[in-house]
Amino acid sequence: MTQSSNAERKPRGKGPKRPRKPKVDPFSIGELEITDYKDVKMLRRFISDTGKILPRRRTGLSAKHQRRISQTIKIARQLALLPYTEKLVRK
Amino acid sequence: MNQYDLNLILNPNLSAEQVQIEKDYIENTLRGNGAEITHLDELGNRRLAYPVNKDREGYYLMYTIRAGGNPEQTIAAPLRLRDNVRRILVVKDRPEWKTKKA
Repeated sequence: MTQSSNAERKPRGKGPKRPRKPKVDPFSIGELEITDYKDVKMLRRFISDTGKILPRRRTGLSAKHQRRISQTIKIARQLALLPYTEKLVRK
Repeated sequence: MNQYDLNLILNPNLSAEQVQIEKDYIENTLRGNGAEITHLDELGNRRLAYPVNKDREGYYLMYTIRAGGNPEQTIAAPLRLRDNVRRILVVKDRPEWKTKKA
């Protein structure tokens, strides 16, 4: 069953795959402060609508900064600045 | 001596005098343990991301202190016993993690 549905799945897009433009790590260029757990606006960029921490493939951060931003987000959650979970609002 | 942030969430329904009593008590506790207050950020009542003790708001106090020893034990633990203190978090300053260029 799963195999047949896999076979029917349309290939994504047409033509050759274009390489995606790499995302810039805003912390490595010194634009943002990674330890600033009070900066809710900055931290919102790195969590999903439901409050989860986004993966590295979405944030584009280096491994070092991804580890550190996750610690910063967890501090902000303890202070009720960020939610642990949020209900997904469907439009 | 290390630099720490001492963050408190107080009961949002306190009068100005009650807040002052809590602040005096906190500052006395800090001085009694040999800590020095370098900065106080008083945000006042702010909406919380989730309810704490069934209140959607909280009164934020954010101190920056310099303290030796273990401030979690010497400072935060006695302050947690106060009825009007809803939440306390001690965060150690990590200058080696800082990324922003001046």
